[in-house]
Amino acid sequence: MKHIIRVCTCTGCQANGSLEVFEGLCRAVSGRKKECEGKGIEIEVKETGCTGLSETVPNVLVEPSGILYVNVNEDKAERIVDSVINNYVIDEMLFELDGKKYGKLTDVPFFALQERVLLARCGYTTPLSLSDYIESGGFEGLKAAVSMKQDEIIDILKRAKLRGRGGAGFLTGIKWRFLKNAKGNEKFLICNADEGDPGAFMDRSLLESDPFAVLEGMLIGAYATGATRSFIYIREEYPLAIDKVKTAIDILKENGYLGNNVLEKFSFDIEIRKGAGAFVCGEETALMNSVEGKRGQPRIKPPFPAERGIFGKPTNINNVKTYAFVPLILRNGPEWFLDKGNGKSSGGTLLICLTGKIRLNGVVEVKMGTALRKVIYDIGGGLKSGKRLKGVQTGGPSGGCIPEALIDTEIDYESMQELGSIIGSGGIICIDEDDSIIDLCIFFLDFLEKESCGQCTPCREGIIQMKDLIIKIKERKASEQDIAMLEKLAVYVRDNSLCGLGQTSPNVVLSSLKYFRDEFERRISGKPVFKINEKCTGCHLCFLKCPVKAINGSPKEIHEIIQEKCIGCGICYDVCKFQAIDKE
Amino acid sequence: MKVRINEKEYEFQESKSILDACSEIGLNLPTLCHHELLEPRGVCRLCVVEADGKLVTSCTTKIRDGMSIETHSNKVIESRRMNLMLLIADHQEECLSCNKSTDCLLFKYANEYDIHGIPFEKIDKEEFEPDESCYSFRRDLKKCIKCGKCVEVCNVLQKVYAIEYSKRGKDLKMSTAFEYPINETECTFCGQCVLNCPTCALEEKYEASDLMWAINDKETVVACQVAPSVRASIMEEFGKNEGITVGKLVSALKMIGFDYVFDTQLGADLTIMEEANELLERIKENKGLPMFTSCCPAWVKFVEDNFHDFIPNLSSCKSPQQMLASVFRTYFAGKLESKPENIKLASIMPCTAKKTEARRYEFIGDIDFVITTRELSRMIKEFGINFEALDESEFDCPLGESSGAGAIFGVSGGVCEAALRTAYETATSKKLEKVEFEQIRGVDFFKHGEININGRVVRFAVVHTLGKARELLEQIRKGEAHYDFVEVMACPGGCIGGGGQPIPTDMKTIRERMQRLYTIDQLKKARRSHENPDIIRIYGEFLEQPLSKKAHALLHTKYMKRSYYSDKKG
Amino acid sequence: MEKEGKTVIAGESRVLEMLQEINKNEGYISRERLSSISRELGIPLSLLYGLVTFYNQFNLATSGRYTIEVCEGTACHINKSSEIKRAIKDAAGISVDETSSDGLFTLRDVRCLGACALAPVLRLNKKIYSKMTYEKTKELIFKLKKEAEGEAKLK
Repeated sequence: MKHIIRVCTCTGCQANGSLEVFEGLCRAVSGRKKECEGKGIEIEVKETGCTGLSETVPNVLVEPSGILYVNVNEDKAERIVDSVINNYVIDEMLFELDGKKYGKLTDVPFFALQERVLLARCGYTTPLSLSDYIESGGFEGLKAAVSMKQDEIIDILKRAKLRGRGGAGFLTGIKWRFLKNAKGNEKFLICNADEGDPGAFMDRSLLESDPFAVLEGMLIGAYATGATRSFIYIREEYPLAIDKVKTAIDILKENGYLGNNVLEKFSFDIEIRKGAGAFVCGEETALMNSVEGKRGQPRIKPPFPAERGIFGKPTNINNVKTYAFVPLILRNGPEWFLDKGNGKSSGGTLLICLTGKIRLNGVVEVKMGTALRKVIYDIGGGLKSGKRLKGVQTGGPSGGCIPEALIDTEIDYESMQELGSIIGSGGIICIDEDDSIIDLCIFFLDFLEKESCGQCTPCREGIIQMKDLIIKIKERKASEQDIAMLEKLAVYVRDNSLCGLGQTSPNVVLSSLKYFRDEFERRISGKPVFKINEKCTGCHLCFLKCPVKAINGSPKEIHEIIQEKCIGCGICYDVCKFQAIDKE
Repeated sequence: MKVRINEKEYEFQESKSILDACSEIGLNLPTLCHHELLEPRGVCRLCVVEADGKLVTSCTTKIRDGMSIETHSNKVIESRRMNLMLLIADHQEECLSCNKSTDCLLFKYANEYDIHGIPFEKIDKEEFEPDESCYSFRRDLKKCIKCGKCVEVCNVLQKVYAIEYSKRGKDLKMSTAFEYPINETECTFCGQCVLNCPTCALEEKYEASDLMWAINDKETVVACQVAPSVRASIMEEFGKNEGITVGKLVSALKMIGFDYVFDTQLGADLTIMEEANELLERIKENKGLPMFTSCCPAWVKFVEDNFHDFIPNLSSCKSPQQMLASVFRTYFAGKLESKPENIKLASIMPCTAKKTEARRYEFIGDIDFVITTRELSRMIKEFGINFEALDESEFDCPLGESSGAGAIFGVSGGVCEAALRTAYETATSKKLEKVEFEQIRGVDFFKHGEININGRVVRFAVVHTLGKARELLEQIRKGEAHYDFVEVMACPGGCIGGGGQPIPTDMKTIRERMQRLYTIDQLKKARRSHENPDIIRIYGEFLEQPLSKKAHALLHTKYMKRSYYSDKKG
Repeated sequence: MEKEGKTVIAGESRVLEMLQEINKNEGYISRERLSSISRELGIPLSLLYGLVTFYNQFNLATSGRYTIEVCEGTACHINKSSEIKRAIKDAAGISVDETSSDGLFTLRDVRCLGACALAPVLRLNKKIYSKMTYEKTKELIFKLKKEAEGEAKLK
């Protein structure tokens, strides 16, 4: 009987000791080799890609039983091996949520409710094993592609309605057609792995867990467009991903999948370029400048990259996830992909990074058009420590905040845009009642202030002044006119900036003003501020009467008003019998 | 193609940017980062218009058949006002005492767009210390609005690379390498950055006040020399009044109090006498070719910094301003009663590099002040001089007469043409049928030709802007280009496009200034340097002949190999 | 530049890679190094200066023995990465971009490291430490200080 014990060794898991778990398991297995042989059991310990359940890492998956053990550490390795040899399940190490324990990974709601297409191999194959990849359907897409004409492949992508997963959401088929039709003796592909959105790490996860999929997508892209050379631009903050991709490229070269004679049909090379710490280099024209060894400043468009890209040659740039979808579409057909979509303008699934105050942090994959509520509560397990959800921030610094009231919204490109946010690269950050929207705005603007390239006035100066206005509001020194000016300024920056970074930088401000305006307005200077003084007897009446639960305190103790939450309604002031509340 | 602009339909034959199309029909849209000779970058966003309902920058967007453009809709005006207010918030306002307030684009647009007070906090600029390390100009980043024109001009047009963008976002700064003072970099002081800066972040070092002190000092004798380019452009500072002739300019200078007003064009004639003969000698010995002109100090520094192998090819002649100064200090000053230390000479130049040239170790003391055309116009305005009421005056003897060849020194191609007029006639003892060399006139960046001198075909070339000079030097290095004589001017159009010239300086004004100088040449009695009676006298009485021992001592110079950064420790 | 129809990626475009190597191997890029690269590749020094100051990765001054990078991603921020910095200020006396007087620690901000589920994180000489608190950070600093002292005694 053959058993495989799988441990993820991606960056996140390693940071929590998964390598030690891996080594512990290996030691345990070799220590009981004789026993296993005697019982006719073979146990292999293998590395695997990340399942995405980052909250409980290190996670261990046992096959063929499919049992998932969570929060594993080195000391527990022996027990796991024992449980495999003696065929029992370790109850205490199972995944538990709300009092219920789950044995198999596939039973855990976090996984069961997902539609795992890009993440299909994660947890079940060894990332750098070419044989694992091929056995699980690898290169079927490429083989199908090389039997078609270039236009046929592009047509399939268009019918599948594959939209770029980097943030802009442009139809990939159209982009590839531009490159295919571009005049030039040399064309380039670029894979944008400069995942700079704070709160998004699914590209890293994918590159570390299933690198061959991304490379196969690029190979198909090369065949379809006539590109012969390419670059993968990976952030230098992802050293493990860089390493894995480098090894994957070497393996492909050795096996004839890269180089001068790929499947006897075409030649293609992939080179890695490392980002050097600039968020703006995720913008495609800035990225091209960076590959050319220059400052990563965005260029004006037109000319578009397909016309004049790196080194002046026609170039196509796509995100990691976009390339990873391509082999699956070629293998399973465009209708299959459309079926995983929302039936509107976009086919396929959505890879989401759930972070913030959510109980189950991690990477999940759902059908396009899944409701936010399902993702946060059913899959993500709701909020930590039972707090109330205030809203979610989607799309990183380029996105906006969506309030709890709109949590039934289905996630797709149109609906997000209608709400004033974007899907972006797929990050969703959950914020609870204790988080301040104003602080979140300041945080993002502070980030963008430093990451902006600084070329154009609206972005460079506009972000500084938006941030200063919000700080003024936070410090209660602002007036109604300041809030109006903030809004006006935000619209100006959105409509006048040169590149996507500037154009989307006001989203967080505009959406906050749209859905959380009261947080801004109640800070207008001149509005009353309520504070509890030492006359408080702890009668607890204000606590009970406060409509937004903005008062802390136990009976018989001096209470405190949480200014962040206070809406200035004055009810506490009115009901207090002891003059213990001051109105300023 | 048919395009609607502000609800009126226009027909255009070729594709062009919205900005150019509007300029054609008489609408000058506001710009900050735009430069005629460079690719549009679309970074200042001030030139936005609504094209088919969408805000786009007019400099980077091309017109299309059927396009509908609004240049001054409410949305566009609000955008531009917001843009200006944001810039003013990040700019140190010193307008009343600022030297550039009459030329400052921010000031101009703030007025035109009716900006009253800004709704933003002013950004603290205390950390920016001005860089006053060189003689030619001052860098004060408190006033920088980050349009990037200085960097683009230095790196793309001039290919000098003294400054570049550093850092990013709110910290974006136009810097030298490691923030070294500009004096310690490859900066040639050509002043194209100063000329193009929309605000006073870059301005020439002001010497006009010190000069006025000296003029008002009864003990000192103050003489001045006026460059050709100055007379060809000073009228632009007074409403482009073509009635401001060189004669009236001389009167104005006398009214200001200069004791003697000399003509740099005579210095130019001196330069030709020496340089033409030097060229003939080099051709005879077949050594030191190609010979490069050396009258442009920015070009000289460019060679000293970057092309050590070409230093021997530079003509050993000083520039006209320095040659005249040398002769002034010896031939002329000796005739005066005053003590040498009480005799001052001021140069009025279109150029910022001349301010540094005058302080070179080899020249220091010959010239005491160098002021630009802009500085002169302020002096004239300070005096309240009304040109209409002035008579015409002549330049003073013995350094006042000049030939047409001396006049065209201010334009690209002029030095070469002047030198050929004398070289040809000296070597062949024949007169040129036509003294105009059309093939090296005009604004093309690279012009060339050849002439047969006693059976030897002499090939000459003319370039302007240091970027084109760099390209030519590299071609010559690789053996792809062969010339005997090359004229290089650092500034577009030649000295008429210099760093100290009236603002704006663009191709239109450059062409107009060029035309004025060619007209002066045409109307001169003497067209060739060797026909200038003052020149004949100076050589007869004093210098003996061109390239004589005395001429060498006074009118020729040496150069040095400069290097940077290698000895810097960090 | 093209050779037989193939774009040759000239020295200039490889300059970022070269600088990244130097920064990694030597911990920083000195002025002398940058000047010599300028001469080697024929790239003006001002352009190289503009290049290294654009990207966060490059250090122009030497760092301490241990470079502590505190992640400034949203998830880490929400999960109180400020506490980590407070601990470092208390235990080693330094703020961002400063090096402690004993030359042991340098504190830097770093953009999202992509370990958001383990927020807040810090990276110490390439190793990621997850779910850090004020106490855990202080402990880490003291542990490293002690190790360094121990080594010094041995010498």
